[in-house]
Amino acid sequence: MRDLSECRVLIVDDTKANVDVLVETLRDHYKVSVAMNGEDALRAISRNRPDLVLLDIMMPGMDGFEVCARIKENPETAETPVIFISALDESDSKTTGFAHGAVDYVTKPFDADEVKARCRAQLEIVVLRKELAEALKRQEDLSVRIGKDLQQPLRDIVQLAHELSREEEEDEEILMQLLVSLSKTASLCDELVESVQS
Amino acid sequence: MHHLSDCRVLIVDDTRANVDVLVQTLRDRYKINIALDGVSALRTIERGHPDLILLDIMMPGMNGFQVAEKLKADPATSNIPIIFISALTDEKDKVTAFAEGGVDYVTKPFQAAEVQARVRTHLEIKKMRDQLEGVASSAQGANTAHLKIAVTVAQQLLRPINKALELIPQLTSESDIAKIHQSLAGLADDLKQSKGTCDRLLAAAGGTQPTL
Repeated sequence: MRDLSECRVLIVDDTKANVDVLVETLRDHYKVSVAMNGEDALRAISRNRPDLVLLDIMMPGMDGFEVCARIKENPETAETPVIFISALDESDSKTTGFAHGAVDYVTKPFDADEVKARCRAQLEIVVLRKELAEALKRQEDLSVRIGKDLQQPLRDIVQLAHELSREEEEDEEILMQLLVSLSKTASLCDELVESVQS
Repeated sequence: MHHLSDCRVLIVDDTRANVDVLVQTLRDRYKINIALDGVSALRTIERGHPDLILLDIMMPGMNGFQVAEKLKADPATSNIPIIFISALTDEKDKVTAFAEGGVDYVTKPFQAAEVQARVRTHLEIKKMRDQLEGVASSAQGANTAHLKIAVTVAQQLLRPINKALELIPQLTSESDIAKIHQSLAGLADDLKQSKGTCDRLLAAAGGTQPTL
């Protein structure tokens, strides 16, 4: 099981009782914070960049759909997954929620397993994306670095050696250039050996 | 996206109408297989592992939980995510669904967006896990690949270096300019150093199990 305990979840609900149940359900697993209305939620999101937002639909003032739309509008927060909190009988709301860019929803009254499973799945996607991007970058960095670093000095050496082999009179400059290329290549080789051995 | 369209989803449901709705909901996105009972589901899975299983709970003969239990007991299939299909009224089933190793459930009657979202979520997780495992297990492979590169590099380097080493005696005997002598001496040193490095590279590549 991947460690997701560093993930930050923002719970947005105007009903204190709902907030309490959700906090209770999630606080042993993630870093949980709370907003009690849409405006506060948007402020918290742009300030703290949570990894996941649990968002109540029916709230006075700015409702959940509008909050979600604002999150998705802002390129800096558009990738943040939103799970809507909806009443069990609001099947229209569910469809509207997905249309607003939500990744899932949970229904009131809350089933703890359901809430945990849905949050966990979305947070795992967040973490896996990061891990995968890093792993692929490391792989790419290594091969690209080796390739790029050695390409030019190798070309130089071959070229200069070729020129030297045809040279009637010794040319100081070519020799100096060859020296530079060789020592560059040699130090790259040293780095390569070091990275192989470490 | 991680080419989720290549993913294979197995739909297991004894009710033809449910199967049809699910196929309709998912077929534009993924490759779909169907099984109409638990036993044929297990046979289908044995022939080729799907990336995700949508599994009806209530089926005659072997029910969904029994199918899940078999799959979870076998290390070869225990990682295939299972989304249970349950009737909206079976509250108990939902709780059991997670206990039986389900990653989630969808309720009948189906909401297309809901089914699509859950399937997509767990396919994405499955794909990324597989990919990461691939990267990790190729850490070993990366070592080998890395060393292959090293060998190639060393071989390529050795050629011009050897050539230059051959040239140096000729150049020194032909010239009496002190500065060129000096340069050549330096060149010889560097070449020897490069040669040493290459030799070490080759030795490392041919040596004991490397670590990255």
